[in-house]
Amino acid sequence: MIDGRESVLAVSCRVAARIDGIQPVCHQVRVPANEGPVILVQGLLSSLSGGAAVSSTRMKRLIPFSVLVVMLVGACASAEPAGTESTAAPAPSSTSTTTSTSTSIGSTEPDPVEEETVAEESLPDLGPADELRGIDGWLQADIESLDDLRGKVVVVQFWTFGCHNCKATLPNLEALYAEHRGTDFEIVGVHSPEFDYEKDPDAIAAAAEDLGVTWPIALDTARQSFRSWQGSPAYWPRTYVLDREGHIRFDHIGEGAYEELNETVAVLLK
Amino acid sequence: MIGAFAEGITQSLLPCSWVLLLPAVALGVGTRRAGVFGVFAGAVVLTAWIAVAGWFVAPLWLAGAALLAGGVLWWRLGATYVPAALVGVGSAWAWRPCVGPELGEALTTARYDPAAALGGLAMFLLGVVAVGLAFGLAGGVLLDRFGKQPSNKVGAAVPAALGLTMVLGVYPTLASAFARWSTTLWA
Repeated sequence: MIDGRESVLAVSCRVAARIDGIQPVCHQVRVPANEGPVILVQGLLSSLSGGAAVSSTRMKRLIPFSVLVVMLVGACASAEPAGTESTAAPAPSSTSTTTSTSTSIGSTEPDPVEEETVAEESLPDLGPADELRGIDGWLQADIESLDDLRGKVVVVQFWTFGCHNCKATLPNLEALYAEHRGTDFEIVGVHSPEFDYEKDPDAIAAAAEDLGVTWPIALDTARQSFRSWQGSPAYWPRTYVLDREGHIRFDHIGEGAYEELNETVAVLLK
Repeated sequence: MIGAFAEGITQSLLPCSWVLLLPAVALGVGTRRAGVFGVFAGAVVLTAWIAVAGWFVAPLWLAGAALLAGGVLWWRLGATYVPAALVGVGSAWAWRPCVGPELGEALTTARYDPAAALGGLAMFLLGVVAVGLAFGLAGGVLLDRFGKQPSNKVGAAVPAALGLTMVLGVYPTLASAFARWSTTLWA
């Protein structure tokens, strides 16, 4: 699920500049391969705006063609190995600790201790996590903020009990909690309701019991933390892993990436 | 890619995808023009891509206005390129996805490398739209068998009604009811 009801109307300067700067010859501009779709969008917009020299019949032919080209190029862009040409921050959830280790060490047989050290260093550091804001209560917890968990590895998941995809992630979290319980590990479920019926604390407690959620739940009824952590758009579920210093080392939207999540926790705990 | 397309097909049956599915069904009933389908699908993909990259996320009232305008134009002009594009843009703006594993991968990637996420997102959305168009085309064929031509007016009413609920602010209540019903059903 996604939240965008109170999102800000804003267009990236990069894209705005590109759209403002539409030229009939824009397709001739040389750009990095992964910016191809942006230029094709320009082409499509140019077609839709009915460039001066384009007849309406020709425009009708161009539009579906442009659409197909955009999709095909998008598919190609997505098929490229992640990070080959991008200068953006690495996508953390796609960073497998095992893969990173084997990449660093090469074909030699890695020493287990060395493997752990290298793997932890290779985890992306996305900076210090924000404090939870606007929390109006906790369930199943004797803590009042994430500061109380400093020194522990913490999984923070934004969820709501009516969300089908959130519920699909719970079996993995349950297994992870069972595996590391009693160590310097904690899970915090930040319950950020999407609909009114999900705001009742009693309903949340009942749902937690039904779903096997035994870890602390922060009640983010006004969704302040949901927005401050994720920006816009924000999604359910979204799962982060914080290291002992409170830095974000893993970030994933939606279901999946369970192996990467579990590996990240295991590496950070060692 | 195939996984994302398959996930789009399966997720199309969840209420969170109906804002994309219903206009696609209406379009399938209202026209047989492949170019119009392409414009609709393209508008959905591009608009959703811009949103998930965080470049422009529209408020619900704006999505409703686009759907309403698209529906009115569709009513007056028929299911042509411009109404299809408007309805596609409005649908994508109103879309609040259920995030399964394949879409989750695309959305996570989109926060760091939007270009790399376009393919997976496009395939997911095409899966959803394909189901809607298939239902719509099948519905149109059935209507033909009963001696009724697929109706543009009926098709146009779907996005217009959806848009009206968003502009009037009642859409979240309807979405909540469907979501609750869906949760009960899945349980």
